[in-house]
Amino acid sequence: MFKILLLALLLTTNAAIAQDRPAAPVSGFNPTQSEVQQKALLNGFDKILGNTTLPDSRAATLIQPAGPAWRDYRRSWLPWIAAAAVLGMLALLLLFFLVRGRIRIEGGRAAQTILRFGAFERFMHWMTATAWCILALSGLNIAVGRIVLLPLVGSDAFSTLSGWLKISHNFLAFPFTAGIILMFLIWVRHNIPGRLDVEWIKAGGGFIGHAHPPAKKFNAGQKAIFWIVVLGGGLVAASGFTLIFPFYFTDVSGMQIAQIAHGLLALGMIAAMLGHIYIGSVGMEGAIDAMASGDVDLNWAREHHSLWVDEKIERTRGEALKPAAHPAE
Amino acid sequence: MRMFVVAVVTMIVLATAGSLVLNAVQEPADVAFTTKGARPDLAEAPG
Ligand code: HEM
Repeated sequence: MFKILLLALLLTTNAAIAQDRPAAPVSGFNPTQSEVQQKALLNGFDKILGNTTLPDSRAATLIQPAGPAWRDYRRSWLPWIAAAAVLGMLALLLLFFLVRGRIRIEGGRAAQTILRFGAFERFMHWMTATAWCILALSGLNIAVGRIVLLPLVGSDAFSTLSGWLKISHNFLAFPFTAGIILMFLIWVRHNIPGRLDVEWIKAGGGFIGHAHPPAKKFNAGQKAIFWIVVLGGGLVAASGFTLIFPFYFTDVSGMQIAQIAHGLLALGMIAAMLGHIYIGSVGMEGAIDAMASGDVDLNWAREHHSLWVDEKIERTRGEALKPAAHPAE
Repeated sequence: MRMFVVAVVTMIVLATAGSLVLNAVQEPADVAFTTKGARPDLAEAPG
């Protein structure tokens, strides 16, 4: 009798306790805890391999634990970094424009122009720049197209467009790389940093305030852009070629790292190039002529590259000078 | 403007040359990452 009472008591207390707690799994198996253990276990391995009779031994990889981390980064961090690089930079440029306005030729347009970039330099610039623009847009589509473009154009148009953008991203890599190599060879001697650059930076480069610190063919700001293009572009190209030649240079983990590096470097380069495009067009009066016709206004050249003007006139015995098509009124 | 057009044309020529080289040295993904065992080639089937 006593035993029956004790059993009844135990059953009722157990039922009461059970109501307070979430139902325990029948097997005593805790899915959350074991997931943690599984992650810890998997992370101890480079990959989990099975056996295969397929000729391609890579098919034996069952799980590559770094894969989910790579995927999570592309889903969570990458869109924010892309937004910061593109939208953040555009916002900064707008702010700069509102505060500083367009940088004018202070002496007004002169009656003469001077040859700044010859035909080959302009050709090289536009080939690299055009390839770069399409690479940047198609790269952004790979990184964030599903978030930005897919909701706007729908899945059919998005998949067709992405297919073409992907093809252009792969193949424009060749003219882009050729352009970077040419730029390095042709312009490197004008882009070695020197004491003059320190003075230029100290004087705010004419961007902050209205001083016109002396500069040779390229000032410190342009030298920075040159090295960003040559070194940044070179690394972007190297990491990109690692991806379009899969398994030639590295394995899956190496390619994941290459893609992350490629995306981050490319986004940094996009931010820098937006600044370059702004100053070369709306931001500074007269700058675009250098890459359009090649001839720049003489006053513009004296304000921004005074030492180069003196040296160029002396070297060409004035032949670099031409009457302006639209002389100052 | 003339140099811009020359640059774009050269860019297209280099990209096309790149695509030819790439297609010559690489196999398409559906060939490179599969085997015949997984995809029977019906053209080779007898009869
Ligand atoms: C030699 C030049 C280049 C090569 C060979 C190259 C190649 C590649 C490849 C193969 C991918 C991965 C595509 C995929 O996952 O399907 C990629 C992604 C990407 N590329 Fe390039 N690329 C080059 C230049 C550039 C340039 C100049 C930019 C931008 C200025 C750029 C921006 C990007 C971006 C943002 C991604 C996405 C990264 C991600 O989603 O994690 N690329 N590139």
